Amino acid sequence: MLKGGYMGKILRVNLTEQTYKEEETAVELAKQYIGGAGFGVKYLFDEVPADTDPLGPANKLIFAPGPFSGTAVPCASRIAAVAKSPLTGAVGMALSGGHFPVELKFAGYDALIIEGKAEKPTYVSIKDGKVSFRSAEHLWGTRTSDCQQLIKDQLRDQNTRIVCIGPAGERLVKVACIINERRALGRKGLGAVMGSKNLKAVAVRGSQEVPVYDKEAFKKARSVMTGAMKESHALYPMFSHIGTPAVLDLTCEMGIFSTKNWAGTGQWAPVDKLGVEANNSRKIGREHCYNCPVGCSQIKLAREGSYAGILTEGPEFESIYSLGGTTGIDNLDAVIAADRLCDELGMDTMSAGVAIGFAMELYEKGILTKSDTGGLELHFGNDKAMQELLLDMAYRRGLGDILADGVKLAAEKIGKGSEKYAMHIKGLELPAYDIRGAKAHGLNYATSYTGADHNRGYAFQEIFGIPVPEAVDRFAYAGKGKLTKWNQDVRCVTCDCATMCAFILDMALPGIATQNTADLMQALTGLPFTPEEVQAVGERVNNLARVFNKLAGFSRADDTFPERIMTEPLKEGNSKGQLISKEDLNTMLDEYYAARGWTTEGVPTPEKLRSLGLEDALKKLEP
Amino acid sequence: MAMLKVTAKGVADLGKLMGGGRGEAALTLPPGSTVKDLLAVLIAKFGPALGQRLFMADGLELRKDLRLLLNGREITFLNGLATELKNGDHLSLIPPLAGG
Repeated sequence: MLKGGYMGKILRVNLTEQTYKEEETAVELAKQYIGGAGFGVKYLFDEVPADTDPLGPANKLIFAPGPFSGTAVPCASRIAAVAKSPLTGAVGMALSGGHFPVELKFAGYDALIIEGKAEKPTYVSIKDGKVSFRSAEHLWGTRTSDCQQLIKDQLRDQNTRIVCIGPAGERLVKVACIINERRALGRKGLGAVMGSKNLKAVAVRGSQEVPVYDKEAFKKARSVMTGAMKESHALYPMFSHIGTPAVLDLTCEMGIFSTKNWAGTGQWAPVDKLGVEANNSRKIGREHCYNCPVGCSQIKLAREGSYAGILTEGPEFESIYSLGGTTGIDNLDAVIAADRLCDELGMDTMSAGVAIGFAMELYEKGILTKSDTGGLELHFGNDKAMQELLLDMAYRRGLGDILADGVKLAAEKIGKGSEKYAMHIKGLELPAYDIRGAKAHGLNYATSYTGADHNRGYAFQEIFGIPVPEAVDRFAYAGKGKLTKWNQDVRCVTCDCATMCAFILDMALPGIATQNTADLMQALTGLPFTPEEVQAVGERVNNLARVFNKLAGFSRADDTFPERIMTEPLKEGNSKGQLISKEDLNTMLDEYYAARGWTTEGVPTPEKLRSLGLEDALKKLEP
Repeated sequence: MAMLKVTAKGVADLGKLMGGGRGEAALTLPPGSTVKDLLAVLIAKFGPALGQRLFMADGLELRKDLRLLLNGREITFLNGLATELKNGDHLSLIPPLAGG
């Protein structure tokens, strides 16, 4: 029996049968996978065959906070959602902060597994162990903020915490997300998985405390972490006051802020209009996740023109890139409005923005014409057209219906050579950083188990110059395979499994992250952990996800880049001349697979799987 | 030999110490000048507050919370402060920034 950090129960809800049951959180599961993404990937692997239709009733959606969530560990209110992704066909995993993650713990659960499909629109209410299935027919069609308010009113509890979908998820838009307050479990189309199950929302309320095994040791371990946060040059005062838009100023200067569907660079110079100063001019307040002293999230109000008066939490750096940079739109008020619109419709700002940038380039090149766009003049920079197209995507109208499934499928439907301009890896649209000027960051995009996902193995060494485990030259290739393994494994376990905000890893704990997690885990749960065992959990999750993806049909050939990355050097700025050729990618892949103990085809070897205790995965791989 | 024409840009708070606005400076230096020489010119131009932000109290060692990129590459991977400048070079002065 688990003694601390965990609530000891996992809730399994079956929408088809309208039943639920509680299962014990196994000690071995906690030791091998810790929680969060680890729990999610493990349950997905064990219970969802890799060839499952992502939008069929056999897919499962697993929500899992970590053992740190709801404790005194700062910045630990994070929850992973895991399912087979309808956008990529690979493991779909997304994380969010806010207050919902800890509320699920307070309600008594270490994870929530959702199975089956409700006959009619439904929402699930969970209150301290009581589960009820409620009609959501009156909620179907609502936008996310209205949906959440209506549920709070119906439950007569304004402090209920909710995850829900908007019109996009209802229509199985493959770039639909799950919204949690004004935050998002954003990527990989998990909102469509909820929609496919006729599940509009999950509402949670709890009053229980997360137990602590050894309070004195926990206090001591926590003080090391808070001490490192206080000493951080990056966290205070700068990050807490300006948030993620600072990275726009940084990446523009480095020449790796992608613009105009990756045809331009940071030297397009939107810094003055989209960077820190511009964002500060729209800022009216800050938001904190539960038990976060930093409060990086900025509340902004559009001030001018037809967008005046629209408020949003954000836009974060990635959304400024996708809705501003890649669309060539330098009107911050338009980006604020689009960010809010995506949240209300329940659509991933990143994939949606990249899809619009893609369509804009096709229009500029004459591959799409006015007859395809419903009369929209889809030039780069047309902010009004972006607002229209976002609505069309969510409601599956016209060109929006095609873009709603992401750029990979859209390019297949549009044809005419459009694949060349579809910026995705494994079907997931590219995040902001132009990886031609950051090679390990690029290798992570190519090999992340979720597709082009910056957060699965962020190369802070290259982007932020943090010399841990060692300083690296962002333009060099040698050593990037080994580094990427380290980045993926350490980030996976310390942030995605434990759980903890990744910004704390980057800005306060890079050199002590696995030690910090080991010490906190030991004190909190009583389970013995060394830093090496902690890191092995990250490796285990990455290997298990890799096997799932292999069984789902992915191979070395999918660990690649869009053609533009490999053939078009950056034309200007401080990364001028950089690209990653196919040959250089292959060199990095060979090194990465070797560091991982995988075959040259990128398949985990029997020896590697056995060393990680993944005999079950080996059996599925070699039946 | 011809004089070197180089540029420098400070990001975020470093930009404010370099005159605000875009935080950019265009400078002319003698041939053979190094990154350290460029910093000295910048400090002379923008004042001692910039010097205190760039160097430790001894005035010799760079502060830890500072990145210097020459044409986008960390000077650590060049020849550090002794890296010789070429005509058209661009130096980026970057504080600890992260997130995103």
